[in-house]
Parts: sequence; structure tokens; C-alpha cells
Amino acid sequence: MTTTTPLLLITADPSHPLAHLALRYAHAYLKGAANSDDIDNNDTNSTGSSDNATSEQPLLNVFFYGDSAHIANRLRWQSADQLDLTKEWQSLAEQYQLPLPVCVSTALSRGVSDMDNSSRHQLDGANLATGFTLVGLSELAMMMQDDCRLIQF
Amino acid sequence: MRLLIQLHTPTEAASYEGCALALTLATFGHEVQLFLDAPVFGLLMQSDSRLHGMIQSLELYDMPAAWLPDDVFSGWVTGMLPIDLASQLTLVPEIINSQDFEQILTF
Repeated sequence: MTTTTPLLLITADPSHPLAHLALRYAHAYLKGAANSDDIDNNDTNSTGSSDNATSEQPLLNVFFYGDSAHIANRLRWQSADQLDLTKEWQSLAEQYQLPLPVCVSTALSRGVSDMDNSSRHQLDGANLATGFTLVGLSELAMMMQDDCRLIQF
Repeated sequence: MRLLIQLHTPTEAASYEGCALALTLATFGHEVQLFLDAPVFGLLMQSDSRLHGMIQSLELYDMPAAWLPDDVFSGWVTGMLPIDLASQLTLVPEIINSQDFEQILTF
């Protein structure tokens, strides 16, 4: 069975319920996809063939745009009773080798920057959280070139 | 991909980012239709807003005229805008086939 890889376009501010829903969706999807991969791998091993091409495909594509760039700010403090979306995404990315691209212009306009961009724009310091990367909007357009299932949160 | 991008939030940043996404996707060959909702009319009328400038250039990106809500206020705002900008705007069709768009994005 072939399925199109979902692309989560996250635009909601971290305080918005949709930002939390995006994380829950990603969690549930990745868990389900990983389980079905395990089943597929067991089937493949039993027949003695393998297909590396499918395993190299990302399970899920994510793109942070607009207000969601705040999630990539490692200096965003949360009180202990609040879900820390930044840490949750980092954990998910580590577990599933998930890239976390953030639109560079929306990030910079919200005070989120990495070392390269800080030196380029004469900004004092960098605060991009580990695991996130600043990329151009063209990256999103390229992700959408394939027949993807785009979902906005 | 065929997309409808709605601009609804009356802030300079949100309207700019929604429109910038539309223009970028159009550059990469996606079919994008913009819908400007009444809350962004104030920004559209400001000649120094980025939204104003980007809507003026829709034709350069081979994008169709942006849709406006089909009401009296849209008629009023179109009459208030410079001709080169007004020519990039049209009223939303009465009937829209939901199959025309694969996804609808809102900013």
C-alpha cells in the first residue's frame, strides 16, 4: 500500500490550541507509522528481500511558519504546569530523526536566530533551539512538489 | 498543488506572511488563489503596506486576481483603491467547486 507523506504546516502561536494539536497529531502519526514500518520490516525479512528506498523517506514532514517560529526559541520560558512545546518537538525529532525546519524570515522577525543569521544581520547572540533549522520558504514549496497531504495547524 | 489562501488576520505581519507564501508557491508552479477577507482591507488601502505592494504584483507571478467577499464593502474598497491595484481584485464567484482546491490555508 502506498501513502502520501503528510506535511504539517504549523502556523499557530505556541499558546494556541492548534499548536498543541499539531504536536499530538505528529506524535500519533509517527507512532502509527513506526508500528506499521515494524510490521512491514518483519514481513520483508521473512521473505528475504529489502527495499531501502522506502525506509529513507521521512515518515512525516513538518514546517514551522509565522507565529509558530516562537516554538523554536530556546529562551521561551514556560511555567512548570505548561506543556513545553519546544522540548516536546525536540524529543519527537530525536526519536524519529525528524527534521524541524523553520522559515528563516518569520523566525528572524520574531527574534529567533541562529549563529549564521545573527552574524549576517549583526544580531547579538543566537537562540535557535537544538534540532530546529532555519530555512527559506522555498523548502516548503519543494516539500509540496510531491503529491503530499498538506495540513495546516 | 491547487491552493486557496485566505488572508483574514488584520496585522501587517500575518497578511504579509500569508501573501508571501502565496507568491512563493506560485513561483514554484503551484496554482494559488488568494482571498482577501474584510479585516485586511485596512492594510490593503495603506499604500506603504507590504500587502498593498504584493497584491499590485499578482500578475507578475501569473496569479489570478484576488477574491474579495461578495458584499457592498468590497465594492466600496475597490472604488477607493488605485486602478492598478483594483485591477488585481475581483469578487468571489457565487459558486465555488470544493474540488477546485486541494487545500485551504488561512492566515
